[in-house]
Amino acid sequence: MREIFFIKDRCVGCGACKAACVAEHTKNHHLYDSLSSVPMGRKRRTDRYKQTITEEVPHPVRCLHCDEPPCMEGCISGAIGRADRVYSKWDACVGCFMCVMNCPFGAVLPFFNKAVRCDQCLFTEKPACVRACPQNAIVYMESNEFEENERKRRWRDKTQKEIPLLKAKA
Amino acid sequence: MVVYNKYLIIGNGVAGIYCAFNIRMRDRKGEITIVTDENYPFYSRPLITDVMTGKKQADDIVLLPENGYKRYGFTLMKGVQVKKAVFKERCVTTTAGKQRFDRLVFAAGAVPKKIPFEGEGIFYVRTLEDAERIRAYLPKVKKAVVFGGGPIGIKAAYALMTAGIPVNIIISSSQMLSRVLDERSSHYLQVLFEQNGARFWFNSDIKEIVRRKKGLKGIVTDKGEMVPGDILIVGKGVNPNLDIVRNAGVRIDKGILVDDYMETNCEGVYAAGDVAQAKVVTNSNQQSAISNQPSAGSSLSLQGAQHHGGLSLRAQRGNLTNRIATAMPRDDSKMLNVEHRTLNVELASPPFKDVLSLWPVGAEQGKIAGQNMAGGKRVYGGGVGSNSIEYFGLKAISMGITRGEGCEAVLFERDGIYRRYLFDGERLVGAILVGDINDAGVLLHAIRQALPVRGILQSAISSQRSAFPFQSLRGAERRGGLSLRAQRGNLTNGLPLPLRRDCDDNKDSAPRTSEIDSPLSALRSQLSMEVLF
Ligand SMILES: Cc1cc2nc3c(=O)[nH]c(=O)nc-3n(C[C@H](O)[C@H](O)[C@H](O)COP(=O)(O)OP(=O)(O)OC[C@H]3O[C@@H](n4cnc5c(N)ncnc54)[C@H](O)[C@@H]3O)c2cc1C
Ligand code: SF4
Ligand code: SF4
Ligand code: SF4
Repeated sequence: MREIFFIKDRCVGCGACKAACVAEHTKNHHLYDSLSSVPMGRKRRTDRYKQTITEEVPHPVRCLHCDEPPCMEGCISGAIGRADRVYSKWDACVGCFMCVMNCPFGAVLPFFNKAVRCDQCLFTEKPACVRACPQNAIVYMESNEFEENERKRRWRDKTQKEIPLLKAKA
Repeated sequence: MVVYNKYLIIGNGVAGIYCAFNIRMRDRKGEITIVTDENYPFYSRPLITDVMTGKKQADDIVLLPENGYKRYGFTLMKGVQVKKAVFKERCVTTTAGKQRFDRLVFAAGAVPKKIPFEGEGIFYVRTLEDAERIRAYLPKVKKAVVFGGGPIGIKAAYALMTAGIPVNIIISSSQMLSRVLDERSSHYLQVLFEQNGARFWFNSDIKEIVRRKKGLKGIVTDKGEMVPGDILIVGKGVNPNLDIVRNAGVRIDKGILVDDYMETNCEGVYAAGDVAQAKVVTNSNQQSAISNQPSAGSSLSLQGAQHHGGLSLRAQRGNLTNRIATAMPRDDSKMLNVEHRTLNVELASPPFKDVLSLWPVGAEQGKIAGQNMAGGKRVYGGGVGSNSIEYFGLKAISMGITRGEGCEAVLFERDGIYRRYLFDGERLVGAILVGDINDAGVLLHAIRQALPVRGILQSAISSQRSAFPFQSLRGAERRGGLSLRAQRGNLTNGLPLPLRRDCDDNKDSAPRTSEIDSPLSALRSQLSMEVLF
């Protein structure tokens, strides 16, 4: 299964991913519709991109779609289920926040009386945030593929940075 | 490999159902029989309070309808009570005859603690049937009395209040939710409840019940006070349902003692859920015996609170949040308040066992028991007592040790957000989060795994934020060292080993995870955009 990965140092904090996520979760996938759509929760899905304390760049809080999701085990209303990806049903949620309490990644966010979480855009080929990012900071791939890429990328970055530094010293 | 193919599951609650699904994931052909003495298919027990007030119908809270059982090949025996069990003979006696089994899980849940009074107008809340009975009685009710300040009692009281029935609450300790919250946070809730029309009688017990010709008139407490009300709902907590197994040959302490594989001392007999006494990491109950003195500066007077509450931005959002804000002081001097207290209680050493009557714990224990019954060797990582509540829009989560007078407490309080962390050295052992419950799961995980997170949490507090950089807990991911997938396996399994795929000895016969994973994947075919959002 492919997953969403975030490459922090590419992100410039433009927020395109937030907007895309909001639009994706409204009925006709339109950003302006999301402002007026009921429940407002869809708009607030943007909350899932958080500003962390140490890093000023927003960091997407994306669900890892666990094999044995603790959030699902905690859900008392059967709103969370797993079918390849973990999904949650907005209508069935009673807002007990057992899932918030159980997710070890902090990927479920409370919003008034419902819990929202990333569903990896269940009905699309490629998640909306991945499509939207102009910097390619959010990627969608297999985890081993990502690891491989990341290792290469880091190595490249490292070597590129170090060469000018050495020259300057000499 | 020996093929065990007759599984008997006593109990149709969350532990039993998770067990059944996890057996089915590994063993496609085994006969799975589920016995329950109730007349409903699997339903959500915590939601019965909504049925009680008529907010939901019984059908709405059924989580696995009967055709779901058929689909996965479970035989459901409804309305069948287990009378006697002798586990050595591999046989239990039920009202529908004898049942043989190869492997059995005992997940018969708990029974409410009883009071020495009986008769019309006195109700317990445990089953859907109880809830339906209360619902039928409610039209006659003008004022209700709830006895018990634990999660169940308070939940029932809240349900009645939202249905417009004023509630008097009798609590035997000095605060509500005394096992779950600390003095301060329970005071916030108490203020909220009082603002919404509840009245409290603390440190009281029932001495006498005053009756009318028809029904109740009120309750006299042991202090001699009269508490008016025409229904008495008892939610004093639960005891494991052990009557049938007392002479069945399993070891019993508070509940049925189980090992790390959820197996009892009888081979092939497992226990899970509210009946099982299993490993716990930390538990709030264990320190309830220690006296609780209010810490300096934490006495909260209602007037002061309203004064401090002012009108923050948060409060202007709406009525509900407004009420919260008035209940919460906004005193910046109390923002960072570190208490140091002497250690007078030893923390539980890891192999400590206790009964935890909680839904997620039941689900996880059922999962582990099911996988082990079908030939796996999964280790149960140990439960953490944790609770999530939401009343009048105020969200609160507590976990681990909450009344730990022995530990060091670090408080954070600001703008309607209250957080209290309890540390044992560098380790987090308990937390109470009120108002802002973001990242509660990360904290719960830190407690479970005994992660040294004190530095991170304290630096977050000193920079005056309730949030914390939880990514730093996931350092491995950022360094790109560990594979995310492996890491996820570690985290979600509670223990690094053994992962499911390592102990899958009949891999080929196991259906794909996506096929059978939860009662809900039965609904997969019906999924559409409309249902989800
Ligand atoms: C009102 C209420 C609110 C709650 N709220 C929360 C909450 O917010 N959060 C939380 O974590 N937990 C909550 N709980 C607790 C939670 O519901 C339980 O921990 C959980 O349901 C336990 O599941 P279980 O499978 O162990 O047992 P149960 O769900 O109790 O299932 C027991 C099963 O065993 C069957 N059984 C019992 N005896 C026999 C017999 N002799 N023969 C045949 N069958 C038998 C019963 O029919 C039943 O099907 C709440 C409980 C109640 C009552
Ligand atoms: S919400 Fe959390 S626990 Fe649930 S599947 Fe996603 S990462 Fe796992
Ligand atoms: S908040 Fe909603 S999705 Fe989360 S556990 Fe409760 S009912 Fe399930
Ligand atoms: S995958 Fe979809 S739901 Fe998840 S964050 Fe991206 S846009 Fe939102």
